Amino acid sequence: MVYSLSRRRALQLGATTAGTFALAGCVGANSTDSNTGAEDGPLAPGDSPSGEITILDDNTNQVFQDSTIAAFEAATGITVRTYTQGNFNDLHDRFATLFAAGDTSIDVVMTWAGWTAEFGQAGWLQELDSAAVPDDLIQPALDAVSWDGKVYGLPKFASVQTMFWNKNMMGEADLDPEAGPQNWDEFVEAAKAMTTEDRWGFACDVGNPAGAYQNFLRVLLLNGGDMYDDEFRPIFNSEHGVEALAKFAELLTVHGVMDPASLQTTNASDLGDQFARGSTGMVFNWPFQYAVATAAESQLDTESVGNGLIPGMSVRSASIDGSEGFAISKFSQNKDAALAWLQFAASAEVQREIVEREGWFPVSQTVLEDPQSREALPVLETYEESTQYATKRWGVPWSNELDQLLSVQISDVLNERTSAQDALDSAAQQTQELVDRYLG
Amino acid sequence: MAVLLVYLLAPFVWMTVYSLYPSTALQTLTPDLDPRQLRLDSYVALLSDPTFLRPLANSAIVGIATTIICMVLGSACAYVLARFRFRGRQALLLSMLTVQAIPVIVLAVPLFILLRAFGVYDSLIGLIVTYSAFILPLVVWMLVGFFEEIPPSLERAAIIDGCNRMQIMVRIAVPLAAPGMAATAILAFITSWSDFFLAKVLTITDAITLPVRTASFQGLFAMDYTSAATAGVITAVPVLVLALLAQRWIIRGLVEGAVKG
Repeated sequence: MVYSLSRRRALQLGATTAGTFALAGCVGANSTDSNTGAEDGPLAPGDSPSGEITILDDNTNQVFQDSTIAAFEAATGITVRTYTQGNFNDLHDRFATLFAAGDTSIDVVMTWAGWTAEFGQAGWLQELDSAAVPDDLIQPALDAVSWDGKVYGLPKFASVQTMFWNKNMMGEADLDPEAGPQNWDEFVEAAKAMTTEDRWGFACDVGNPAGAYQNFLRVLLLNGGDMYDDEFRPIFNSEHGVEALAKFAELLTVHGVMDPASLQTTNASDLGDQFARGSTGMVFNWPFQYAVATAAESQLDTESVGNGLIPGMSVRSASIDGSEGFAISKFSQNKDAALAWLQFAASAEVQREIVEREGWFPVSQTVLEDPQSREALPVLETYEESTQYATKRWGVPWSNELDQLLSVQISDVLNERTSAQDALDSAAQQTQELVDRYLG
Repeated sequence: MAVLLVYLLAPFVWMTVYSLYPSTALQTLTPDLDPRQLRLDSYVALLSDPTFLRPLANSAIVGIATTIICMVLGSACAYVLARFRFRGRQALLLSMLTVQAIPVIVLAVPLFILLRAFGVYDSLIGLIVTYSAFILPLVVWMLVGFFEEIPPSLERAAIIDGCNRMQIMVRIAVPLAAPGMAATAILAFITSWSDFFLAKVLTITDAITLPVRTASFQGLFAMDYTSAATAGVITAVPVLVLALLAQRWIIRGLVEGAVKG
């Protein structure tokens, strides 16, 4: 059958299509307006919050379901009607749909630096008043729930990368197993010394876009560089950035100390498992690495795992942040009760559980300095020391796109298809286009 | 051709390998494929895990119900479009293709609002209705081609024998178009069975489907490759079996549906 598409039919078809889109748009807009219940201005603590709340979290923590909710309900009289855990990778689209629809069924959502920036800028997260923010929050954790000078939530745990090393391999390479490398040159020499036919001095996870971005940001900060200037112009292709990326790539291409499997390693958990198998000298990883490396099935134990600051290139040290938090939906109908949950999750009582049961870092300085916490999680000492140095994530509304474009360039550098300078210049140009698009 | 075949099959083969070996044996530059390491633990674990079996059942219910609805409504609609000439017929057929051209992401929010308003968000009924709305136009488009292939003289003969239109459709058109209808039904089932995006945004707990459950094996800091690969194989098996059983019909259906209508 052959169709002839006359002008009249084309117009009919166009009108049908336009009508479909218009209807979709009208439904969304009207629904949002009628459901918001949004109040202007930052949210301060209410007098006596009550009622019910619903929480949509990711599946990083089990402590909330196991004990925090019951304790919260007992302490406040507020009922947690539902606490749902979703997969981190699905939550972004779910949240975007819920927010765009002005959904009032979810009060509290999990967030991290990138989503705080994206959804905060979109006006979908409730800004908090300074009176709602505890005084003793650690800055990188607070940064994870802040964007453009506004606080959109409270952190639920802190996560900062530190260096872990295999003391056995250090000793066998005639290195001091108790003292990790203090700077990048020492780090490279130690990695060389530990690399043998079947062992690697260093491994990382650059196999996916987020991992590639994190590995680059880390070396950028270690070399005293930064991602953006005060006006959000990309500056990561500066001399600091180019040198940092070049030195990072040299671990693989010149020194031969980076496990080539790092290019296929897509997440920190796999990296943690690899280190625990005992044939990798050093890794830079999140706090859970300690628990993985000292678990019963690991080839290592508390005596053979070393932990310290990540050695810097032009600065003593630096690190990247992966803290998560809770935020309140702008469309929540019970924001006071939702804020009570945020504050309870950030309280010392819950933070101690986070440290002792789950091995994450606390968001509270008070808990960080508590000797009991140090005893439960020895790597807290390194974490406290790391707070003296730059620790950033640079979560921005364009985080996902940045991860993608930067990972392509970093992959090209690691595979020696381009130079660090050309790769970062290209990435910076593309990033500037993203900044212009998002910030105007 | 061989290269293309390898390119197409390699991901499925690798997924199957991942489901059968411990991930530690594979996460090295030279994977350890020693047959002595083969194990079915992950299949046993998943197929005895209620949090996996429920999404599996959800996907089956949604896929079968969507297919039945689309085939019943679609065949009636397609028969009318194939046999009757009326004003707006061609525009109707073209508009059905328009539905397929709209990016699903554009409709996610309106669909969410609609389902929530009718109280069927995160329900199997909500998914079935949604998928039926998306797949029905494709089914109609394909079936029109099959019904038009049937010689009208057969139907005229049936009319002379005293059959009415419904009898002609049921006794003559449908049996003659059966291969095409089978292929269309399989495509309808596969489309609803394997959808990820709509299932992700239109469900949250109760009505989660297999693709969404499979994606949950990847977390922020970790990925359970073995479980994800096992779930992937389990998801792919029904599709593969159906495709192999009806590959001749599928190819014929696709070709005819593409040029007729």
